[in-house]
Amino acid sequence: MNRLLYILFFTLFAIPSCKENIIIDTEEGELLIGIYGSITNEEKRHTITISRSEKFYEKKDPDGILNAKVFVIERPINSTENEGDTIHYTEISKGIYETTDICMARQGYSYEMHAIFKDNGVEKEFTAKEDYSYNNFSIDSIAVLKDMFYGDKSENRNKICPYFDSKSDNESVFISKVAINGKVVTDSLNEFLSFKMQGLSKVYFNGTEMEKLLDDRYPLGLYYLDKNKKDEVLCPMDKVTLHLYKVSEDYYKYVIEVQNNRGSNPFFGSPFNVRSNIKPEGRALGFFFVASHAECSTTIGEKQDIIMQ
Amino acid sequence: MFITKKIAILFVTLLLSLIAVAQENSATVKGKITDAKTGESLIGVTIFVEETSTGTITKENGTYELSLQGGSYTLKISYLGYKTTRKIVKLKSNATLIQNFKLEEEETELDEVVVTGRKKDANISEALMSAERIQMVTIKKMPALMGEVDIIKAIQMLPGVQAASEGSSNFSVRGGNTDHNLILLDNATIYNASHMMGFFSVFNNDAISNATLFKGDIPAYYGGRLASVLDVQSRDAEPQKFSASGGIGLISSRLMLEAPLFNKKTTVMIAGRRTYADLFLPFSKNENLEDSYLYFYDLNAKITQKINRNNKLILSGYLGNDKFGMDEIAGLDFGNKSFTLAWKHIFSQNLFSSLEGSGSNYKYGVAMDMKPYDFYYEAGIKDWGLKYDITKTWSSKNTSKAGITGIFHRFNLGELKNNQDSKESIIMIEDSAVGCRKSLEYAFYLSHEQVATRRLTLKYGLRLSMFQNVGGETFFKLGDNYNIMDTIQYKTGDTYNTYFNPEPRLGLLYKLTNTSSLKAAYTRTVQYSQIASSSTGGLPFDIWIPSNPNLKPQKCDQWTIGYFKNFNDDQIETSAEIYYKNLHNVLDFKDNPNFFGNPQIDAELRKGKGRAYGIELMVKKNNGKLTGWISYAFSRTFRTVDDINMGKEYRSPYDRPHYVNVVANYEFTKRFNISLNWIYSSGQAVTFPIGKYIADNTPYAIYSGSRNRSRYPAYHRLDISANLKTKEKKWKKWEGEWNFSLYNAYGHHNTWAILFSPDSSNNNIITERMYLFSIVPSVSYNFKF
Repeated sequence: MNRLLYILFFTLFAIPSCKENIIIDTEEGELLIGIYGSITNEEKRHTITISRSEKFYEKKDPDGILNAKVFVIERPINSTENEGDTIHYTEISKGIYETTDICMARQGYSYEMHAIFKDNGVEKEFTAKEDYSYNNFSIDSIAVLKDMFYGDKSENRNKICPYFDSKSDNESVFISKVAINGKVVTDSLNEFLSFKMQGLSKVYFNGTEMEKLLDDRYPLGLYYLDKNKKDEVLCPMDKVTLHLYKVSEDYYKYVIEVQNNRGSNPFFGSPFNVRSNIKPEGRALGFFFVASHAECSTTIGEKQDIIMQ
Repeated sequence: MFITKKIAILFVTLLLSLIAVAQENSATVKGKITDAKTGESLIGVTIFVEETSTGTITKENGTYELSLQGGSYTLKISYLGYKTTRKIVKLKSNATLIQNFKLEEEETELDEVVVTGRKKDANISEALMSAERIQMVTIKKMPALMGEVDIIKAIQMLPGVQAASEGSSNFSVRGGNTDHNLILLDNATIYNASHMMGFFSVFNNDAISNATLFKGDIPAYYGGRLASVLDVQSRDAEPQKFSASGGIGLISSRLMLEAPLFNKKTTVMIAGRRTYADLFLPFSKNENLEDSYLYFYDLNAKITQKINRNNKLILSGYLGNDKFGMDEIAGLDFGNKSFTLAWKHIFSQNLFSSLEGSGSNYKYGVAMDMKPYDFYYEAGIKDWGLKYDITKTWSSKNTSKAGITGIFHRFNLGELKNNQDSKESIIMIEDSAVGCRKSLEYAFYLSHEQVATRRLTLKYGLRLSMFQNVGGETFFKLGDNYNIMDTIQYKTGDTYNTYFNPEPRLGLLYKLTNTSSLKAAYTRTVQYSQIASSSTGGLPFDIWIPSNPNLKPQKCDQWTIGYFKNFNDDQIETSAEIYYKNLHNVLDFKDNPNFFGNPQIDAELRKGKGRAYGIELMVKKNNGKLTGWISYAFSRTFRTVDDINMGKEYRSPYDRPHYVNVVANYEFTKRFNISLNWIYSSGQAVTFPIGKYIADNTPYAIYSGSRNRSRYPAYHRLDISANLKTKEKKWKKWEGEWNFSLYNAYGHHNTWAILFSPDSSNNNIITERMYLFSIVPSVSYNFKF
């Protein structure tokens, strides 16, 4: 509701308004440590990035933290024991740490991340914990369809429609990434691609039950590829992949806050820092999360027409 | 409770004693002054007694009263734009003479007569300070956005008043929040005075007679807000015959009709407005706008019924609505409704009373019809009020006012209604009601103004306010850390929390000379209803909530001193006022608050204290070809609130140290005048980032946790308008006037918002300034007949 109200009213102001680039006088402040990473149910090497925040207008790669000891302790959810299996990480490039072995997160387990390193000669330890409490799922198929909801106005949009079963959880939260020929063209942190099922849980997504309800919006697209964006133009034989991640409510809120981190205006009031689950609280940025992942691809046909797999 | 009862009894006794006051011994002349043509009451007309060099001015309803010794006197009646009239009256001791005047408009050029629109040196001799009365005649000459002159845009040109944001109808007075202002239309509260994103206010200038802004020295008969009272009175028409006025503009038109009925004992005024920008949207090149709609309309009506010489009934009402929607998918509508039924009664020549019942309803709704979702969400606030007050003029040196008021508030914090048939649907957003909160707010007040000596006038009063929460709700009691400690269900009708606050009002005037004076005032104000919002510009869907055990009433102590000096025989007024305010239990929002659909909304707010101080300087020219004012205000305002800015003091978003206003009107001829406004202010206090963090190739801004340490660039704007009246022809009743306006004449790009766009390709954040207006030309045609 928050979003709907603000978007509606912001649109009103956008009607007469204009925009121009400006350089603002940013404030001086301490550069903070940021940790961002995840562990999912994919069998692969998972990464965690440790870096420092930057000055606002600085244009350089993130300043990675070297020589950190990074590990994740895996133990059953609600376990009272301190001990658990340890997943070790190895530094593969400046500030980027990867699990030493191929591994995967398991349903019913909690994951506690530790990162220990020296910062200006002082040893610091940062931690974060997330539970893998949701069920795994799979995407049966995806379709890339011309969006006809707005009639002629929709001609520049193709929608990516997944078909999957989300019945296993009462209330699910998803984020997503879209890749064309293996290159991620958008993700939830950049676009409004995160979504709560909000009433759609326990329903086969884009199944017959939804068809009855959606009419001309059926099937429901999770992302709309914009032909005006160079990276999102589809050509025949392009492979489109949708990655869906079932995530925690906390991480979903983090994503929403990143999406809303868009400056200051009279409606939103004073901006605030995006939340973080990295401890000690207030001393670090970023998020460590656990996700159930599923992906599905389709290939665009010769005529670049409606394609369904 | 015992104390409350005692005070109530004391006040009732006082009221009764005032009613029972015996006749005065001195002679009195009183009456009403109206426009001869329209019958409209004229406010601020000077009645000057030439023999005694004393006088008075007419009040809000056009009435005046003078106490003199028995004898013969010459009354000189003067008013800007009207012929000056003289009348010899003979007064008998212990008797009252009713002497009404009907003033005729001045036919000759303005510079050929000497008229004054106010009592001479009124600002020097009146004890009231920090108050500005604006007549529609002044406002109508000011340049306006899209040609629509507006009371609220006009008061934003006064020192100490600032617009909440570009184009907004919300305003901050002396560092207060936008919800610290009480806005009254015929004594009914208007909770959202904005139309169309704030570019217009709810006040139709054809239907309005005048407005008074009290920004510091707030009389005891007003209460309920911390910072100011904007008292807007609708047109007090008592026309002798049918008349009409209106205007046709680029985006809106309006029409006002008034007429006498039934032997002129009944008079009716009705005025309406509607914008028609939505009619052009289908032709927009922006495809998203083609199927959108955006408009507002409003309607003012007033019926005055003279029962007899001493009794009059007045019924006035307002209805307004804004509608905005996109392609029948989503829509937003909001609007106010209000009414006032007043019975004005004259007990004797020195004792008047007014009994008023009023109602106010502000509601907004959001509709969503995008399958699979189909719902309607609404929230708002509804008031029912009753007020009785009496005014007693003991002598020309002593006047008292006392009264009782009570308001029942019903706050709807949010209600979601699912439009789908639950039997057929598998996708339901459950109907939910965040809840209604109810409360009662009462006040007893008494004030007295006393001319103690030739130089010294004292003004003192007391408002005793009481507030009670009324049950029928689930109350979430919060602990010190804002976590819920207890959940309590209160039965409908139970009162479960009472606040009682004395609000003293003191003021004094010391006349240094006939043309200079010193004034001082102390005011305590208490506020029991507030907006829960993080927006600084004011939004139509801001949620009003009452005080309760979690949210103590906000209080403000304000001290003001001022020096007033007039020059050139009252041609030029100057003033300097200094104020200091202490705010208690002031509210601000925590980081990342959620106000919508949240039954525990109290936990999203943080309370603390605040302070504000400033100096306001003004030079004003009232008469002649060139009229207007130049003002400068230096003002600071700060807050210290739990959990915000690490508990340290920070700037309020309304902290703008420097504010300059220039308002000028030059009458070239009676038919042609040019006006300009120029405004300069320090930029709005905002929070800018200290850096950025890049997560998964997405850069986002990070903040120090210090609130409002930075500023937008300074704001400045010049507006110009030219008004040209059509030639008057004696055989034609039609009068027309063209208005040509340039809003933001030199096209300065004033910052409305700073937007960040992440640029993942080079880990950068692009910063953009969003501005609402460049040069906005407009033309409108106003008429009356």
